Amino acid sequence: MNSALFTFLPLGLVITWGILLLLLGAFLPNERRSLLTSIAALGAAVSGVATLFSYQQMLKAGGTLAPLGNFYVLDTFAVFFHLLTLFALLVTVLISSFYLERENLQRGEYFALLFFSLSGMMILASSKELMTLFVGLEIVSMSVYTLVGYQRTSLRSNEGAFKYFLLGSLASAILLYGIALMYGVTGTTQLAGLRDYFLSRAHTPLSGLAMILMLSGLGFKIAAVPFHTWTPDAYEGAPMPITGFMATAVKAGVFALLIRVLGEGLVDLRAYWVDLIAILAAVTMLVGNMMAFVQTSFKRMLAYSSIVHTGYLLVGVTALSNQSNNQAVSALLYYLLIYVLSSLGVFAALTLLSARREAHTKLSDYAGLASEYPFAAFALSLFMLSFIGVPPLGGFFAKYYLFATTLGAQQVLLTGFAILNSVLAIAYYLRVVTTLYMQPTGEHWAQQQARPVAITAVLAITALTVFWAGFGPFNLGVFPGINSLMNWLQTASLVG
Amino acid sequence: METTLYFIILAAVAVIGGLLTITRSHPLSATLSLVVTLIALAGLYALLSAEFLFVIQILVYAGAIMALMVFVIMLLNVRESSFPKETGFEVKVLLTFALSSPLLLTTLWAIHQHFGDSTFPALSANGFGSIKSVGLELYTQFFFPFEIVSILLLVALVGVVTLAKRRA
Repeated sequence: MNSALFTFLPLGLVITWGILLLLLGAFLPNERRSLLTSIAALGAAVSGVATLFSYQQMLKAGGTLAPLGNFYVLDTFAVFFHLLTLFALLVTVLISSFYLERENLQRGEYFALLFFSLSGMMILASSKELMTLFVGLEIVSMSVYTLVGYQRTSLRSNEGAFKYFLLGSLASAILLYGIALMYGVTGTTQLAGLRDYFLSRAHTPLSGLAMILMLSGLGFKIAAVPFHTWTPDAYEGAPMPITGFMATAVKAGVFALLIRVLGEGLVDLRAYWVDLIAILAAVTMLVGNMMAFVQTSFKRMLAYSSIVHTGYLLVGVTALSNQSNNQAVSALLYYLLIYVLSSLGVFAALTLLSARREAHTKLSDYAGLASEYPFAAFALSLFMLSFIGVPPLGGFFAKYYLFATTLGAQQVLLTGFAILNSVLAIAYYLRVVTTLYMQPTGEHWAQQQARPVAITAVLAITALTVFWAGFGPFNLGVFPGINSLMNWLQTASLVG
Repeated sequence: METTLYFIILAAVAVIGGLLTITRSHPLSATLSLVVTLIALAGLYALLSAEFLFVIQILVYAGAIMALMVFVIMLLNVRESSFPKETGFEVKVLLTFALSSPLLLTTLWAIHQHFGDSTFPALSANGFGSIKSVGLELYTQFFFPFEIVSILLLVALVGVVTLAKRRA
């Protein structure tokens, strides 16, 4: 087989699996529906293996595989996002099996849409051409709109899906208008072409406007303040595993796009966008923190918490530059990795605990959880501490690395503000921990019996990784692998 | 000069149609205003010598999709009385204009700054915009985005059916 074909093997597998699940959903008799979960999990695993396989081919070909020019490229950056989103998909499938059974929502389309949205994310991570990127983004968005409204009998789910759909479409239109103006200025939609153009020519008002429109559209998709208003409603209305999927895979996918566009296409306009991103990051962190603090619903609090993490990531984006020894990309990737792992753990625990029809989403419902579900409570607290950035957990090292990089890029004021914000965030994350451990146990916990193996396994794996990622840098010899991971991430730089 | 005149007329018709689309409260008049916009857009494509796009715009958008929308509205049998009462509608429209006009004016200014004194080369008659040249572009250079659009359409289709079908 031609090595170029391996480039498309993972993407092709994911799309094929989506179609397969769709067909199976139509033809399987109702009582065999639980089979869909196993097939979906198998699909995620097979695609993961295929990605590793194509990665090997990529290394043989000298670091990149691009048989189609810039339309679909396989490099380390893309492979990282493929693996990360595939892992998020696998976890979502595993925790969904329990959730769908409980809520009686088992249908083939659910898993098919998850796989299709994943194919969109793979395109987002791999393409270097604006039109392809836009189509990829729309594939992701369309599938997620549907998944948010999947629980059709729930009013909240409908509301969330509708708001997300309207604002998301508006954002897509704005992004597309920006891309159109950018094409008008430069005459190309290739990111490499944009870079060539701005290397030799000046920035005009029109290209500035195009850039601002593109950033606004992307700001909506990553839920940066002031474009975040859809986030809490969509996160709250979506079924719990889908909320987890949105907070992890979708966010990672759109960040892959943002990092590609800013770090590769518009990197020579850095002087123009860096202040915009810095302001956006500062406002996002502050507003997210304040709103997270006043929430009584755990799910809404996590929505705002994900907004705050968008802010931290945007702080990291300001460090992107065209120097070849730039560490910003690897710092961002490492932060995304830790954030995705801890968020997946949190949403796995919440899927288990939220009870039928998601009756328990208020923070007060989780009072004294530790005495009934000691492991879930421990894992949840661990993730909260990792979100704060308590050493020696993964969150600490991720933040340390990210902020060290931005300090290196002379963003002193912004980094200081980000550190201040991570201190402020202690207030509401610690409140979760104290609620879990120090309050009298609610009576409703005694009735819940189900403890599915899959969710416990997910919790154990993510908790262990968050531990491991924190201890790794101290190189105790007991936790091998983290250094090679860091070295690998450093090969993922976009330029130079 | 003639082309500029045609452009201005078509653009004005398109904008007025668009405004009517979002300000009419009855769905049928809104849809028919949208048809006006789409036909004016088709005219703009024709001015740019994009003949294939012109034909497709008329056939697919102004024809097929609009017919579907009109069918849906007729099947739903909506009446003016079944809409929720909107208060202060005019104020909202005016406010929207006031708020969005700076952006629109900035866009115009920026476009003028960039292209104001540039002259564009005349199209050579190499079949630009014909079915053949569009097809060649799509199936040679741009076939990857073209192919993944089919996934997008599939997702939209599955999504609509999932959200709208009756409970099994």
